[in-house]
Amino acid sequence: MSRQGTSFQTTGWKRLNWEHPEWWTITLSIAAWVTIMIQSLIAAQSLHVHSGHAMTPGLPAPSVSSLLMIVAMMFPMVLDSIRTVAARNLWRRRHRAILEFLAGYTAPWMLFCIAASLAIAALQTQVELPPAQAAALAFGAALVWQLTPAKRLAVLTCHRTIPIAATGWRADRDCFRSGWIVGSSCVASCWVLMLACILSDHSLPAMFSATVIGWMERNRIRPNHRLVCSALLLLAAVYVTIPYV
Amino acid sequence: MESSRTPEMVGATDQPLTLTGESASTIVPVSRPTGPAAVTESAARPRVFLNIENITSKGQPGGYHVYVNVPPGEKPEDHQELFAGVLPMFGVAESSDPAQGHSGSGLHYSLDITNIVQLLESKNAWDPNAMKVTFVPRRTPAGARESAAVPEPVQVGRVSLYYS
Repeated sequence: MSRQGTSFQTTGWKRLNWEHPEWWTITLSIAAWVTIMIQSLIAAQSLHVHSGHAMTPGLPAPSVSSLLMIVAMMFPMVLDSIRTVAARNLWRRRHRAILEFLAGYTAPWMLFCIAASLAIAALQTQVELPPAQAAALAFGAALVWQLTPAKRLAVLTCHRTIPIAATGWRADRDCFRSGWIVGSSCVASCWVLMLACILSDHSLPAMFSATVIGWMERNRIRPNHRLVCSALLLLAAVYVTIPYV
Repeated sequence: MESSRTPEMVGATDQPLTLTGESASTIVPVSRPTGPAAVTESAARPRVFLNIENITSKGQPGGYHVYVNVPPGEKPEDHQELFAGVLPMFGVAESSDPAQGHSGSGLHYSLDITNIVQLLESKNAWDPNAMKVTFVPRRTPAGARESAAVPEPVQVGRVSLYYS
């Protein structure tokens, strides 16, 4: 019985790996969400102990927190692209191709997040705006951005595929380039949402809402723009009226 | 049987091919399958698919006929047994342009060439390491090209071979 069980498990595992090579990307995303939640809990407890303190001790450096945000929020958006890249590679290269795609995808997001964090830090020395109000402003801006043709174009190009060579350095280059193209389009599409998350001090409700909105928009052939706009309006209103979200 | 449904890519071209209204060929290097197709190879013969990916163009070119492993120096039209399928170019300009409501990736076609591969294998004419794919412009019954006098170039991003 136990041998049969093991055999079945092996077959099941192999089948999962065959049909869903993106499984480890989902695992990474879940791990990133768990890490963010633990950090938020630690930060909340620290704030509770040192009440009135403006800083949020325990939060990691901007580059680390940005990477966590990207893995948690953005990796689930590109599961279809990851499956496509895996399917367009030789069997022995599938996971390497996914890794190269993700490296290419993460690069433009990291550049954006680090630039945005530095710009926000510089602005904060000039203007004092609570994180919730800043996030409300950004969600309002996301609503305006949502209505522009540039945003719709960016969403479309998020689904772009390019020819990928089968072997050699060309295959590595094409997988990375494929990720870079999709990542750049994602930045063009969702930069305001990501900005809202950074401005909200990486607040969990903001990040979770932005993920749901982005996912709804990306994984539907005809996204419900009214629903997305309503959700953004609601978020902006929530952050204006409840300053400690 | 379930596993045979997972497709496995076994070869693809490294460079795009530009079609300019004349016959053109490309060679697809083929590797031995190492995934699901290798497992199922002994039990059930895998189906073979020829994928023509990322076909882009700016104009309205005519379509192309696709042939597999036409012997050197011979006319593809004389080998109907090697005819893999038709590539219509309807909507190619729109699908190549993100401003037209598409991602800009172009058209994709998947042609089932299982019967052709079996025929070539039976004649000992199937090379498991390379496959030649020939594109021939479609012509009207009168013999003229489908497209305009000056044919629009068509870029074929990649030609690939899948076992499933």
